[in-house]
Amino acid sequence: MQGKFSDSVSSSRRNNWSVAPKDHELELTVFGPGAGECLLIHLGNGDWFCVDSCKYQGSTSPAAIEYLMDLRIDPTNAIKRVLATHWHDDHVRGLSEILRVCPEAKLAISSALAGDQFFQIVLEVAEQRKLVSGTSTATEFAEILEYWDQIGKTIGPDFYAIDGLPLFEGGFQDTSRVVALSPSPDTVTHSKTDLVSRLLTSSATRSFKRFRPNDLSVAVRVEAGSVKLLLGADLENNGAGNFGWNAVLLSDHRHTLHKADAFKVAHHGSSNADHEQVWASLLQPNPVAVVTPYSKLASPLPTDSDVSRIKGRTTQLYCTTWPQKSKPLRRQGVDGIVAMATKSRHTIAGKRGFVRIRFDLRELSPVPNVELFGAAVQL
Amino acid sequence: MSVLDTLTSQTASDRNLTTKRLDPDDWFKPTLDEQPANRTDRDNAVNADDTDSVEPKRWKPPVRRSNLGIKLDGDRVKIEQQWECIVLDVGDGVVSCEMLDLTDESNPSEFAEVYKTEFSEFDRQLLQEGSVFYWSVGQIRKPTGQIRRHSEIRVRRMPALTRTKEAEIARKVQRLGKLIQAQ
Repeated sequence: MQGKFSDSVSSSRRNNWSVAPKDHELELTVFGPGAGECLLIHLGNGDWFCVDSCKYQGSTSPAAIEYLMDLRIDPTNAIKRVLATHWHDDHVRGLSEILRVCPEAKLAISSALAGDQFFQIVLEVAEQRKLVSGTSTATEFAEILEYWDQIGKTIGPDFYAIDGLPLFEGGFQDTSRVVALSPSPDTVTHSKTDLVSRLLTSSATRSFKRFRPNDLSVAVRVEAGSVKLLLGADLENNGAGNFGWNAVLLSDHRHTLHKADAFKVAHHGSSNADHEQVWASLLQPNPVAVVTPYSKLASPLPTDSDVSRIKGRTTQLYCTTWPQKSKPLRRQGVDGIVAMATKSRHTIAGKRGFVRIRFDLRELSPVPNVELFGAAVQL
Repeated sequence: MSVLDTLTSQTASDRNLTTKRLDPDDWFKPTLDEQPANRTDRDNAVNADDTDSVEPKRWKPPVRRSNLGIKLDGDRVKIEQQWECIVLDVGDGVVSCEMLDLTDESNPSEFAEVYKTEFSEFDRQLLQEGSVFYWSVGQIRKPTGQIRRHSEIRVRRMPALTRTKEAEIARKVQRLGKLIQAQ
């Protein structure tokens, strides 16, 4: 079955587009359609790790599934783990479908959400929003829980991710590992005290908060052969010592780390997720950096100043879709009314685009091979 | 004619009544009133032949209808575009939202900052992150045939969970908790 990603690849770039990575290759593919994010990592020997999920405009399947099909890889057994870094709807769209398509894949979520209370919140909000056509975090998680409830699936011991927890081991010559860097134990303890108010809006009609807090996000470190990747999720830097990026830097698990060669920039490149010490302590000088845009804001992320700041730290900054926003569709007789009633308006989903980085794990110091597809650009 | 026959014939007559359907393209045309005019004395004169009255019938002028046959019914609205909007943030003067196109779901979703003044006072109180409103844009035809632009925003009221549903969720959560503890 053919996926749809071939549509997004310009003819000049089609040459090696649909060639699957070899067993000795580490691949990091970053999808980011404008409001959403998904990372697909080949850890060697056909083992894939999926971080979050998103869908491209007009697609019915998650980006990760479509991509694997275009590579002629059967996703059923290929994806070994799925990590939901946090619960924001731009990171979970299509997650339930990935788990249905890949029944062997284990899911991991933030340890800050551990306990029955999170399940209860999800099911209650999903029930209330059944009549709304737009999908939401609650809808996705509720579908996952419904699926597990139907099949009576037992959930793995690595279900709740916390700093230092290995989420996967295997891959290329059994050297591949994926380890959670967050949330910190203090974050988890803190979140337990008022999970409902941290996750949900306060009124009677409850819904999930969209923008905060992101210190519960699961950032991960990927190791395969001599290559290291740092995937920042939406982890923010809120200034407190035991939370967010500060906690990652201060953690007891950090003393043995080698610096990472590539970085998925945290929280769409926003300034509140930026930490100078992360670039200095956890990353090689001038690493490959990939950012995904977020256009559900009047000034979409990354802003011009975000791009300037990140480019001051690396010359290899790539974005999955650029520009982050585009003009809305023109509709005769409608635009005039909408223009009078709105201060600003733009289309959220940008053009299809993604960034693919491959490393040859047989080499001692492999050079990253960065490929850009569709609307992806180097900034 | 028996009473039963009379009733039967009335029923058949009622069945012959049909509902007039308006063509979507003709909705702005005024509709002529098709109800029969009031019976005149001329009609009465015909019926009078059956009676035994011998008095001569006097001619009376027909009753003139006041609205010249044009039926002035209510406004008609033609929706051209409709969105389901999910509130992302409520600011001082604007509401940031994600707009999902209900008219054509294949269209990309949009971000918009809608002025709060577009909402009714009652709806404004319901605006918060996560709430949902529907925005319809189109044309409205007044009874006089005048056409105006139309925009309507309504905030959705979410139903509260019933006790039965809450109990059902609690049971499901308990089952799911066991699936995790099984490891």
